[in-house]
Amino acid sequence: MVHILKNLKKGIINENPVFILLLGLCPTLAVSTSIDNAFGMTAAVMFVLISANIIVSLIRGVTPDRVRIPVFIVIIATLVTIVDLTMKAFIPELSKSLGIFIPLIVVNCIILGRAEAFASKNTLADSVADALGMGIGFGIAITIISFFRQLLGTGEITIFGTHVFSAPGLFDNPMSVFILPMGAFLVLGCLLATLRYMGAIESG
Amino acid sequence: MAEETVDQKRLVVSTSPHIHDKKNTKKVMYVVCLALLLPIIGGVYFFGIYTLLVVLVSVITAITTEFLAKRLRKREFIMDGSAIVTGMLFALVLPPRIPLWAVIIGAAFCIAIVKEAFGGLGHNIFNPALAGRAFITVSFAGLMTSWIAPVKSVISLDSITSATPLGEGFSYAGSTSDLYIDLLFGNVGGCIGETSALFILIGGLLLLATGVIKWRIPVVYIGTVFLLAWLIPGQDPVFHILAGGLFLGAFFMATDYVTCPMTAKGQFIFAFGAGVLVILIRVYGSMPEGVAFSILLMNAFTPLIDRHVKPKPYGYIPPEKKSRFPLKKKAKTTDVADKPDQDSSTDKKEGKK
Amino acid sequence: MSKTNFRADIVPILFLTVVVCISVIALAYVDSITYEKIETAKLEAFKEKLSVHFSDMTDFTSNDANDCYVVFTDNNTIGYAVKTIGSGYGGTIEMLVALEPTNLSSTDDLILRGLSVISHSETPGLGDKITQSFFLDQFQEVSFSGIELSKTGGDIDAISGATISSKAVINGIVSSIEDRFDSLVELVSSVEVS
Repeated sequence: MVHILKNLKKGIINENPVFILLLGLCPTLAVSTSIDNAFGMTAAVMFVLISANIIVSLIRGVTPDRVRIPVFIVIIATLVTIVDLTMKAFIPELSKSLGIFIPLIVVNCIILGRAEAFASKNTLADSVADALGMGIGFGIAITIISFFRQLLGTGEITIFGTHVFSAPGLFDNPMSVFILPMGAFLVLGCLLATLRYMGAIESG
Repeated sequence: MAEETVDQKRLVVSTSPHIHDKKNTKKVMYVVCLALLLPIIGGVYFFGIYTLLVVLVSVITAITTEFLAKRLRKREFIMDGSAIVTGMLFALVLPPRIPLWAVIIGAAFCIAIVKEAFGGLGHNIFNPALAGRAFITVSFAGLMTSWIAPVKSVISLDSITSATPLGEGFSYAGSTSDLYIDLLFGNVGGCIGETSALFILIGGLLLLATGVIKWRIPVVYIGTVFLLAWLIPGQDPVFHILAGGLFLGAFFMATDYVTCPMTAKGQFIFAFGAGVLVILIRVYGSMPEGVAFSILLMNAFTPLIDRHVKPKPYGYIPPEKKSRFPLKKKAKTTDVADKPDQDSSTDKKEGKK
Repeated sequence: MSKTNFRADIVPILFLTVVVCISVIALAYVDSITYEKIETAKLEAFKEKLSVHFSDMTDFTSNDANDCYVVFTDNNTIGYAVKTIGSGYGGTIEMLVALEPTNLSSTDDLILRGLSVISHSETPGLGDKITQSFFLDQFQEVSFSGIELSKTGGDIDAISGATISSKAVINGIVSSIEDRFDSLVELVSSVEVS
């Protein structure tokens, strides 16, 4: 039990995939233009990550070492395609705004990374805990980034059509640079610098 | 910058060894500030006292940000004037009626992100003022494309929107020579400091005369633009060099020590590349003006240029050239035999120097 | 390497084959349940875009290339629509031009009923104003020859500061409609025959 909690916590804090391992930056930077996108992306990544970890962990005893990476990739690609088709069928709007980045979860290194580094060596329960932790960690990171990008870039925060608040002044003159790709790098850079300055990330 | 004491042809000041001189960063920066006062006066004359406010806000923000950034990085804050220059330059490339909050955001970005985040003066890859302008242009595209016609009254706050000479929809009523004169004196719409080619030229000549900048970059840069505009049918070369921010960019921004190549050859490549980019953007691109982006793009190339035209280290003797294809050595005997001769002759020449 | 080792060489191949087979079966199953939903979702989304201009539409038909449409109410033709593409400042601008049901002897007869932007990547805050109603409403009830900037004698005012995007919209409409006019005529005549 202690084990499982530790694995869960690890992904969220000590080994946060985005802020500390710096994995999966491509979707993080590309789709973090709004909180809606961040939630959608997190849900998709979570599903793929947990399912992949479960399957990989279950077959870890029988997978021949020589073909383990192709096997993992096939499993991940299958799961991603399932997510992609399901999203297209049931939530076409979100699927459209996430666009190419849903199929690209296949090459998201968090997922293959966890399958190879953790699930293929650990028990089912530990692997699920690890996937949950990593998924939540990813979700927190991408949500923080998209919060700043949406706030600065559009001047207001809207979550699934519900208007939360709009920043006075910013709303009339939003800094559209933060919606553009450049803004993603700026926000991520500033966040990493702040975290490091506060000592959350050990330097070196 | 010690040419006054040493024969210029023998010692080109670039990478080490250096000869010490009384000139230091602080003095150089204050000379630049002095030279920049002219375009600022021009801006105030053409667009009113508000532009002076823009300059002051920009400079104060730049200095404050530098101070705060140094505190954050736990470095000593030195008032070397570079923040003042960045602040002034940034203000000069802004539209005359830009709101002050945008100036504050931009100037803070210039110093905090473009300069200090990369390690402070001497470590920045891009020219801070221009990168700040690019940031503000992308952020507030609407604000950065609203130009006004010159009001020519210091106290006036009026603004009549007008297009810049390079912008689309600009039409000039008078004759071509009148247009040239207006461009020369700055009687056209545009950024605070870019309209008057003459004021910038005087400031630039001051920098040249004091040895703060070399002639190479401005001359090659403007020359390339002129030549290319002259070669492309339908373009007016005189108009192209007088309009827009070319003079300001050529004298004050492309020559930035930190972000341009160190060697003479490198500077030629840098200035030529920037000139080509200006014409490409202006004539074939979808933006009316390309000076800022041409310099920023060449800034990005600077490390590459520096690596390629690496100057010979002082006292360096090139190693004897070996054939790259040892197996074909016999076939290449003539080449191999020729080369050492050439090498030794150059060695002798250098020895004579 | 002389002798094939079953455990080391054949098992991995078999294992991978089995995994791929399972994956194919799973995907085929998911596809079979989502395929129709995806198609209807696409169709619905497009129908919604058309109904912006034809509020009383009940159905529409398209040609094979899927760029020209005839819109019906019950069995009466109430208008046409053409997908148009312009190259803007940041990339392609995909638009839908709704047309009045005029006779189609030449492009000069066309009257625009409205314009909507399907997708674009123009600069936020500047070029993306092409999606705002103040700009798009200018395209209502305009004859085809009037699709030109007011500066050059047409009926459309450019967005200030975003001349390139405005021009891209106009050029895209003009060139796409000229290209697709023949297929539109073909589609309309085939509909009338049936």
